[in-house]
Amino acid sequence: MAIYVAKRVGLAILSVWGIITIVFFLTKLIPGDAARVAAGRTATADQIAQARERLGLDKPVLEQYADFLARAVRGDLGQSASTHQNVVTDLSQTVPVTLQLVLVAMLFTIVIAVPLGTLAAALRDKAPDVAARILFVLSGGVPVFWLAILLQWLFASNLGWFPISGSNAFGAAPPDVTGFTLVDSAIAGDPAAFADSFEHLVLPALALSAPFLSTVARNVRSNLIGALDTDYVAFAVSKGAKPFRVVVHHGLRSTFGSTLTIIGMQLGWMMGAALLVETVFALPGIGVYLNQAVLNQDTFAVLGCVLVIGVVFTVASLVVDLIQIGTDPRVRASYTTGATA
Amino acid sequence: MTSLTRNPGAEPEPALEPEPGPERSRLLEPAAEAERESIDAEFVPAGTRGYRRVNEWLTPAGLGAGISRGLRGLFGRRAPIVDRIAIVIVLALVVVAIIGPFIAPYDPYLAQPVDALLPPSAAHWMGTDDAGRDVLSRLLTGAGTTLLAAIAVVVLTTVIGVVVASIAALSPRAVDTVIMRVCDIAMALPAMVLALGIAAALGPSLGSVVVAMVIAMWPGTTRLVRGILRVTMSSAYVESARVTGVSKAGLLARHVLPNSMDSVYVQASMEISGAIVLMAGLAYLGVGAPPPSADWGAMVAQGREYITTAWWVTTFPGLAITIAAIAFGLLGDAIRVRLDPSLRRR
Amino acid sequence: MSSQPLASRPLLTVDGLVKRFGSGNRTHTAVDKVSFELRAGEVLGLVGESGSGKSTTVRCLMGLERPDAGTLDYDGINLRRLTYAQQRRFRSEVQMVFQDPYSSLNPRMTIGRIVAEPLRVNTKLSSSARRDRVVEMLELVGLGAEHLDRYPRSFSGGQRQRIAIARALVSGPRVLVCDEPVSALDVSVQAQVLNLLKDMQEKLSLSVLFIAHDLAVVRYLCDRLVILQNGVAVEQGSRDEVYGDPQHPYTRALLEAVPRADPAGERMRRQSRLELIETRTA
Repeated sequence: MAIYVAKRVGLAILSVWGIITIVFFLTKLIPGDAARVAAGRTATADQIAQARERLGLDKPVLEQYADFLARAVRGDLGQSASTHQNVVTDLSQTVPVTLQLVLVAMLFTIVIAVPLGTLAAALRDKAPDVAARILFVLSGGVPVFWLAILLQWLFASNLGWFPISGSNAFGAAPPDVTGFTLVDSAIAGDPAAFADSFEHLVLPALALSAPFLSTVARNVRSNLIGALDTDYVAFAVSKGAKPFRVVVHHGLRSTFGSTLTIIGMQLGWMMGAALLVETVFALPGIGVYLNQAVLNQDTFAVLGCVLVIGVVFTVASLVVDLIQIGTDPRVRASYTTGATA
Repeated sequence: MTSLTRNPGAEPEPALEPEPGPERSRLLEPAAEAERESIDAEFVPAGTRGYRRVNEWLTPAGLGAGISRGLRGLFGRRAPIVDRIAIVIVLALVVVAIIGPFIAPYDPYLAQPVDALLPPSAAHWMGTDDAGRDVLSRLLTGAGTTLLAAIAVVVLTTVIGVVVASIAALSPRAVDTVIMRVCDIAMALPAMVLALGIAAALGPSLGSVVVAMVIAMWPGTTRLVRGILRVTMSSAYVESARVTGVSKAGLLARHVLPNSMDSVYVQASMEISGAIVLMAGLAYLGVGAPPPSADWGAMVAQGREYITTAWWVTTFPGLAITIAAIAFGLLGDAIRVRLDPSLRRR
Repeated sequence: MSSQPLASRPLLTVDGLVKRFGSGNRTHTAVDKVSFELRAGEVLGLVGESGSGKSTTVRCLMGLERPDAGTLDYDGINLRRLTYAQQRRFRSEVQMVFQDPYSSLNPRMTIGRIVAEPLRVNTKLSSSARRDRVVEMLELVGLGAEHLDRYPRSFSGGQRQRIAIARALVSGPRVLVCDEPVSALDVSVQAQVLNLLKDMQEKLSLSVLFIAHDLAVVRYLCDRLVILQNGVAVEQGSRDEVYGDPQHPYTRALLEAVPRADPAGERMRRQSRLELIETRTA
C-alpha cells in the first residue's frame, strides 16, 4: 500500500514534468516572437535584441528548457512580458480567484446533481425522472459562456438579484490574506464581506457547474439504477427494508467511487471552462490571465498557468485515487495484491 | 460408432439468431421483423431467451447487428420520440449547413449602420446586429462552417486516434505503455487550455482552431480507441485467429479493427457535440475565424456587449449552438444505448 | 475405437509447467508442475473441474499465456523459445477448437473466409485451390458449400462448432487441441459434435488433446487421461486404468458424478458418494 502511494505520487510528479515539457516545446514550435512582444510595439531592433537577451531567448532551446526547469524547481517561473511582474506573483493573485470559483461550482454541482440523480433513479421513468433527464441534456449541451451571459443578463442586469461582475462590491472587499475572498472575510470576521463575496460567486459558479452537473447527475442516476438492480438490493427489499433507505444506503454507497472519480476528473476540466466564465463576469482569475498571456505571446506567463492547471488536475486525480483506495475495499484489495497496480 | 455428420439438417439445435423478444422487436421495422421471424421460426425453443440475448450482445456479431438494428430503429416508426427529434434536428442542421447561404434573406456580411440593433420583426426575424446585419442570415451562413469545422475536428482526431492506437497495439508492451502515458499526461491539461494556446499562436483563422483542437483532443480519443481495441483483442475469435498463426498486423487488420469500428464511430458521434461547444468557446475567447465571419461562437462574442439593449444578437447564435450540441449529443447517446443492453433501461 | 500404434513416440510434451496469476505477495498458482505427454495418434483427455488449471495449461501450450516455469516441447521444438520458422511450423501443425462457438468465430467474416484463414496464413495455395479445400472441409464436417458466404450469426451453436472444427482441420494439422468443445452446446448436440471429432480423429489420424470437465464426455473419446485438481495432475493413466481402478479420491469423486442409466446402480452409487463425502470431510 505504501509502495503504491509512493508510486502514485512519483507518477504525478512525472506527469507534471511531462506537461511542462510538452507545453514548453509547443511554445517553441509555434510561430511568434516573444522578445518582440516583451519589448513593446514601438521597440527598435536594438531594444528587441536586448529583450531577447534579458529573457534568455538567444540561447539554444534546450538550454532555455533546462534553465526554465531549474528555475521552476526553485519557485521562479520567470517574468511576465506583459505585466512585467514575476509570474509567480501574478499567479498567487489569480489562482485563488479561480480555485475559489471552481470549488464553489463543484459544491453547487454536488449539492444539485447528487439529489437530482438520486431522485431520478428512485422514480425511474416517472415524470420527475423524465424532467430531470431533460434538464441533464440541456445543461450538458449549453455552452458555458452563453449560459453565463444569459444568467448575467437575467439575474443581474434585469432582476438585480446578484451583482453583475467582479469579485466584490467597491469597498466591500475583505483584506487580502489568502486571496480566497470567502476565507479572507471569514478571517476578518466580516459577515457583510462574506455575503458580498458569495453573492459575486453565485452566478459564475452556477454557470460553470452546468455541464458538469449533467455528467455527475447522469452518472449518479445510472449507477444507482445499476446498483438497485443487483441481487443484494433485491434481497434488502425482500427483507423488508424501506425502498428509500435502500436507495440511500446501498445504492449511494456503491455510487460513491465512480462519482468521486468523475468529480476529480472534472476539477481539471473546470479550470478550463473557468476561462470562459471569468471572462464573462470579469473575475480576475487565472483564466483571464492565461487568455491575455496567450494573446500576447507571453511565454512564461503561459507556461506558469499551464503548470498550475496541470498541477491542480494531477493533484485532484491523485487525491481521488488515494481516497478511493482508502474507502473502497475492492479497489484496496486489488492494489494490495498488486493485481491491477 | 456411426457418424452423424452427414445430416446436419436433422440437428434439433437451438437457434442462435436473435429471436424477436419484446424489447428487441421494438427496434425493428415490421418488415425486417417478419423476415427475421421466418428464419427463426423453426428453431426457437423455450427457455433459452435470456441466455441467448445476453450471449448475442456479448459477441461482436451481436454488436454489429445491434448497430444496424439501432440505426434502423432510429429511423423507424417505433423509435423513442426523443431520438426521433434528435434525428430530425441533426438532419435539419445538415440541410441548413448546405443550403444556408443560398436561402439567407440578406447579405450576411454587408454592414448597414442605419439598421443597427433592430429587434426581431417581420423583416428581420432574429433582428440585426450592431453593424445592421441580419442575424438570421448570418446564422444560416455560419451553420456550414461551424458544423463542418466541428465534424472535421472529430474526423481528424478519430483517424489519428485509430492510427496511434493501432501502432500502440502492434508495438511491444513498453512502447504501448509510453504512448499511453504520453496521452495521459496530455489529457491532464483541459482541451480548452491547450487549444487556446495553440490556436492563438497559429493566428486567427478557422483552420488554426481546427488544428489546435485536433492537437488538444487526440490524446483522449487515442486512449478511448486503445481501450476499445483492447476489449476486442481479448475476444475468443481473435485468440482463435492467433493460434491459427495469423500475424499481429493481420489480426489487427482483419479481426480487431473491423470489429472495433462500430464502437469507434459511436465514440466519434458523441464527440461532435463536445467539439461544437469547445469551438464556440474558443471563438468567444477571440481565437477563431476573424470578423466579419459568421461563425456561431464569434457571433455570441460580438453580441455580448449589447445584451442589455439588444438581447437577440447574442441569444440566437447561442441557442443555435445549444440546439446543435444537444441534438448531436442525443444522437450519439441513442446509438450508444442501443449498443449496450445494460443501458437500455436507464 | 481407434487402434493406436503401440509405444508411439510423444509428440507434445509438457514438463513441470507452472503458471501463476497475480503479482506481489498474493499470487494464485493456476498450474502447479503439471507434466504429461501426448503421443502420436492418441486422444489424451485433460479432465478437471473449473479452476483446476486445465484451460490455463492449454493456453500456455498454445502461446496464449506465458508460463512461469517448465518446458513445453512439440516434436523437438522448444515452444518457449520459438524461432520464426519453428513458430510457423507449430502454428500450422497444431490447431485448436475453442470452448465457446458463439464467440470464437469472427462475426464480420463469412464462413468461407473463416475456414480459409489457416490456409491463407500457413500455405501458399491459390485462392481457387483454397476455396476447393474449404468446400471439401465443410462437407467433411457436414456443412455444404452453400454456406460459404453466410456469416456466423446465422448458424446454430452446433453448426458453429462444426465450422470451428473445419477451420482447425483445413490446413491438415497433426495435433488438435480441443478446449471443452461441447460444454457450451446443448446436450442433444454434444454427442453429434463428439462423434464428428472422433470421426475426424480416425480419418485424419490426428493426435488430440481433449479438455473436459467431467469424465462422462471423455470416456468414449480418450485413450489416456490426465486428471487435474487445483492445478496439480493427481492421476494419469490409460482409460481402462482410470475408469477401472481409480487411484486418487478426486478421480473417484469425478467418476461418481457420472450419471448412469441404471436406477438400482444409481441408488448404490448415491450411497457410496455419501460415504465418500463423509470420509473426505472427516
